[in-house]
Amino acid sequence: MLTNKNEVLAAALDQTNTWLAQTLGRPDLQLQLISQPIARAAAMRFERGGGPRRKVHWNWEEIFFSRVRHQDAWMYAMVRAGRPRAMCYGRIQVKGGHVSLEYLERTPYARGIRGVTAPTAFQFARAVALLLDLREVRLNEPFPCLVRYYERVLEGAIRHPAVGPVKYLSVKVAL
Amino acid sequence: MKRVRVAPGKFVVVSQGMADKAARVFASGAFTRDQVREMAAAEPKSASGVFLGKSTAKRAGALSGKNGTLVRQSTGHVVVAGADRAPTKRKAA
Repeated sequence: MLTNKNEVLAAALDQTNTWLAQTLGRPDLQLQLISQPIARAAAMRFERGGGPRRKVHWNWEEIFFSRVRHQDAWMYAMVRAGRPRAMCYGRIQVKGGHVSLEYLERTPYARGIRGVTAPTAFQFARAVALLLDLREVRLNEPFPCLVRYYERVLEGAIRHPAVGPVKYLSVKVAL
Repeated sequence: MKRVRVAPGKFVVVSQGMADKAARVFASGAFTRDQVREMAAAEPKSASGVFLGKSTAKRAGALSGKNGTLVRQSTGHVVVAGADRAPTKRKAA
């Protein structure tokens, strides 16, 4: 496991929050890293917030305990007015030379964060990658209807495989 | 050294070198406000909350037993089967 994971994630988080507040003028939005004492409560609050309109079956608490804790990975919640409105899970793969965004979800029809969720997640992942001198960010398993959107807004996004269902989109990043 | 609040009541100390590097990363290619506005405008209306994620369904069309939800393997979406039916009453304990 990375020895400086917490430091890297904290530095990226700090800058992402500063970017949200100063560049986007959204001090009401804040990222918070999910860690052991709050993981369960945060996941439950987020999933309950989706209500019956939530369209996926995955469980953020399970993802945290099976794939984030004690691993080179992160989970954050985007919080607004004290409530988690979006969740993101990503992995750091130093040997593979990339970081990957694995799961990203926001509460359905959440007011006030529409349009901010994906750019923020990418911004955070890019920061983590560059702080670790990695040069690629991958978006794994993008929802099919959003592939074109990602290709349009993320400059240089390349789909893999080139034909057929997209496994991941890869974006090269540099300082 | 910089003390960063990462969650309520939780702080991580970041070295000055790391903090400076993070600032450089954001100075050199963070999305601008206008770019984010464009991205927001381009976001498909069909994006009702799910952006990325792998379906972990055992098999396509599997009913998840208790609540009768049908999971589509291709998208991870859940379709509630029998939502139009009246709920069955449970026996009193």
